[in-house]
Amino acid sequence: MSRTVRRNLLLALRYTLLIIMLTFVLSPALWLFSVAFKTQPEILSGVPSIFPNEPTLDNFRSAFAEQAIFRSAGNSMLVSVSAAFLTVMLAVPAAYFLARYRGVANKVIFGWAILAQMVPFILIIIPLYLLVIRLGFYNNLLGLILVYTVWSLPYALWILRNFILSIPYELEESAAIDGASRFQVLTHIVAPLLTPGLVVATAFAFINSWNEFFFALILIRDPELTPLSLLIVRFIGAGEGIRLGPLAAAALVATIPSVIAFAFLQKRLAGALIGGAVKG
Amino acid sequence: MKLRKINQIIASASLLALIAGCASTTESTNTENESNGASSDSSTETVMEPVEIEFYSLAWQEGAIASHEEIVDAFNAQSDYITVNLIQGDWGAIDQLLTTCFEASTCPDVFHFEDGALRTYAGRGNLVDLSTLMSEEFRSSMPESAWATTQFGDLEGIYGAPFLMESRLILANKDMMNAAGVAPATVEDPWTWAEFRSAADKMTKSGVHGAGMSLRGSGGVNGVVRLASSVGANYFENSNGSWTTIMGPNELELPKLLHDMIHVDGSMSADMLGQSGSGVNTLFLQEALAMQITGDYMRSQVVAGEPAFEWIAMPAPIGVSAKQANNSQTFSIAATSDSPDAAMEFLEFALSAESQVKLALGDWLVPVATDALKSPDLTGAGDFWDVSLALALNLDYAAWQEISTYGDWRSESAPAWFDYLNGDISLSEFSSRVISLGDPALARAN
Amino acid sequence: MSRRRGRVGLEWAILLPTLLPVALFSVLPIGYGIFLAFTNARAGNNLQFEFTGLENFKRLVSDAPFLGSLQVGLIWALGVTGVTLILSMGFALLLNGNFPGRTLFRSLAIVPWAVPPVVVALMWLLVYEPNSGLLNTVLTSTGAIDKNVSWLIQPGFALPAAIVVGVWAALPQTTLVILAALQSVPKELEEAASIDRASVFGIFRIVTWPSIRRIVYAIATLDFISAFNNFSLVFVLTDGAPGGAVRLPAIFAYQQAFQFGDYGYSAAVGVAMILVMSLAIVLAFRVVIQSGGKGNV
Repeated sequence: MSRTVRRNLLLALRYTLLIIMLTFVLSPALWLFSVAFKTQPEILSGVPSIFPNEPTLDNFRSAFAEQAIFRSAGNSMLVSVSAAFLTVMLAVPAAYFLARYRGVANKVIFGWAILAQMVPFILIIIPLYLLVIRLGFYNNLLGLILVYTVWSLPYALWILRNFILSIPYELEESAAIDGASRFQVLTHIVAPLLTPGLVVATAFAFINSWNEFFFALILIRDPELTPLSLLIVRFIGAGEGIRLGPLAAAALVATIPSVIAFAFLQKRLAGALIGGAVKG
Repeated sequence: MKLRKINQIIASASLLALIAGCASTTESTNTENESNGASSDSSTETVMEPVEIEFYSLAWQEGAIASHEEIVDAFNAQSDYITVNLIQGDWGAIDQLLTTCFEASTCPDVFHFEDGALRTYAGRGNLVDLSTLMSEEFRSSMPESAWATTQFGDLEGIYGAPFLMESRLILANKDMMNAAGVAPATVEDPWTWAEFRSAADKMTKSGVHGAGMSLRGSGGVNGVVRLASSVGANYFENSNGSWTTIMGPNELELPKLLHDMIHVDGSMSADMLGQSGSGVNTLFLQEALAMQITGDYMRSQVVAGEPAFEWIAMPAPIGVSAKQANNSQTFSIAATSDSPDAAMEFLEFALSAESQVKLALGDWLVPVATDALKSPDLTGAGDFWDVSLALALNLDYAAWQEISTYGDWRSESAPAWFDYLNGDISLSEFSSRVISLGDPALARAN
Repeated sequence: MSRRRGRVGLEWAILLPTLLPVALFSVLPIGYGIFLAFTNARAGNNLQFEFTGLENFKRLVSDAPFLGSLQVGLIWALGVTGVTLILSMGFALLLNGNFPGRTLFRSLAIVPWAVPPVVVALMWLLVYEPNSGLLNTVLTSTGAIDKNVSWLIQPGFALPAAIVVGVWAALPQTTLVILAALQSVPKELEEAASIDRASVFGIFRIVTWPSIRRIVYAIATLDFISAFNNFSLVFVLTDGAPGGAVRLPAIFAYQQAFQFGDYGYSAAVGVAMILVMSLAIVLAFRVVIQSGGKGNV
């Protein structure tokens, strides 16, 4: 079997497997997608079809008319981007410190990171709420940003620390020997290799903040400041009622920014050429 | 090391400050509450200085959202001093909101909820006793049986103003009834459970079940228990001061009827055990079901489904009486409110008979105010509003609505109901399992 | 690795901006939360609680629904984590590399992560719907089953059905992390190995795995923790989890706090959850270390 044929077969295999996985991944979402464009009678008739009989934008119209979707999306964007940015800014130096240094601080912070990660939300929800109110953050988006940042930190620290540990220290040493300053070593050697890890940490902080519901519910009261995650559940009613159409429409709107943000981020997932650095 | 110790000290100090601070807040709220109660008389005091209050609404149907907004705007326009801020919430999360906000005193002044759920908060002292604030006029605008839903046995006071009620009725496919030669039940001449069963039997054919109702989980149990008032079933008794489950012949009558409809007649499908209310409605619209027992709000979903067949609404079947257990949507005032008088003023405005008509039309539920029930906007509306209105008169308070852990009783005993209705256990086993699974839940309420 | 101890001040200077908000919004609430576990704090008599020591924990140990929830939680967490890891590994390997359309495939793979948990639960409720749901429709039309199954109601099926949803929700994040790890593998090592005509599996075993191993252990641990702690997804999916078949510990804790107002007891459940998780993780790492890996998280 020639090399080219083998390569093409492997590629075909890759595509096939990917499509199978994506079917599992996407089919429930496709369902939601189609519901968003179906008319009320069609949704209620319960006929399971992917393509709406008469595609309509009514659900979107209802959702947008009843709820200030753009404004909430804006609020969510502000909170999530800020939280993601802050998380990474704080996590990177701390993760570097955790990876490279030994000492008491190391153990304390690491211990905290593990504990914080394990603490179930239900345990701290009321104490945290009381505290945030006391500090004057009631009905304040900044309160959300701070809370989300702090609560994304353990995960970010853990991931980034592991990525840094995978970077052999010899690289930094050899660069230092070559005359690079500490700062240059960090920005030119470590940072590029850390990019995949940064992508993960950023995505995590962003998405978690974007989707978070419970704490936003109890902290934010002002309709002007409401984030998007709170809007979606408004289409769920008492007893058995769910207005599936507008809910699906709102859910779609809530999902797309994260997907776009990630599509943008994932371009940075390309690995750096580590070889050059060692030999060079 | 040193830094760690310092951190610990700071932490403990902050903790103590926190506790002290929170404790003092609670104290001041309590004193405020007491003085309010003592100084008010039987008429609502008018508010004379600018005040803003928050109203947390749970409206989710388009019409209901619109009517809530309309009411708030109308109130703000006519009030010189009070401004109401409407905040839209959702049914799924209100519980979480209320529990946390009462801890931190950040609750909305007026909030929308339902009677059963209020009990927990009333017990914790989180709600204002409306009887100390409301006017005589307002009190008498609604029947005492409705007010009973927001009073809870061992607690003095009225903790919510009921304004919408739900009854259960039968929605039926008229075309199928005609084809099977089944005469419909009317408000004057409702079916008995036996008649319901035989009608369902007659309309069952290949591909169509005669009847359906949601029997899923604890909601399904609730549906049966509420209807069982009509056959004189209580399910709970409190003769010696603590609640226990009873499963006598009255209590077993409806479950047995449903069981037999599923397994003997074949007029109801065992799938009902997994169906939600909207799932059952979907089957009805698809003409896989001839009749469904559901809440009167479901009429809006049938209308929205634009069915190809003619449909009617009929009263739910009766037994020794037409009674159904009452339940209501309510407006309450939080004990943490800074302006309970303003809140009460808004409440009386929002729940006037006129407003209740608007609210009822928005949510397809029946209003509570006596005058509202007579409103031509409702009696003259199509879509079987007259049936709903007539049924509302049969709603009555049931003793078990006082049990704070009724929800848990339902959840805990639900597997027994499932197994019996699924045909896996016998009637006597069902009876003893419900008692053994449900009593621990009741014990917590005692 | 250097043990640089000099310039102690610098370390703390770097960390201070991080430490302050952390202390406030993380350490303090956690401390308070754990403290409540040793009291009889209840809703309603706000903060007039008494220190009760180990009372709550004694009650926990003989509380059948609680122990049941622990069992459910462990089965759920292990099931979700295990299946997710296997699938994610495969998925990440497939997405790795320079093939046409990789941006599209990777972006699509991330979709479940972008969907809010409440919506995830609702979507799957639609899929599992006995009459018109996607799953039953597909299964009956292909003849795999002849009667509609109530997936989330029937006791035997409820937990596995929920686990499928858990896997679906955890898949994108885990895949992403493993993909990122794969991207960090030194390329020329892989190239060298393939030049030596090592098989695909060989490359993986000798070159790829040792490089990503540490990250995989990390994400496995994190997945396990977040699965065990899961609340909102399963809560909405099973409508408050009646009957206990899918009642996770976090849901049990929620009910104690929000339905019964028993904050102290709920906090004790939380603390117990942390202990159980720690135990599970320590045991898992023992196993891994003993089997030859030098996995040092």
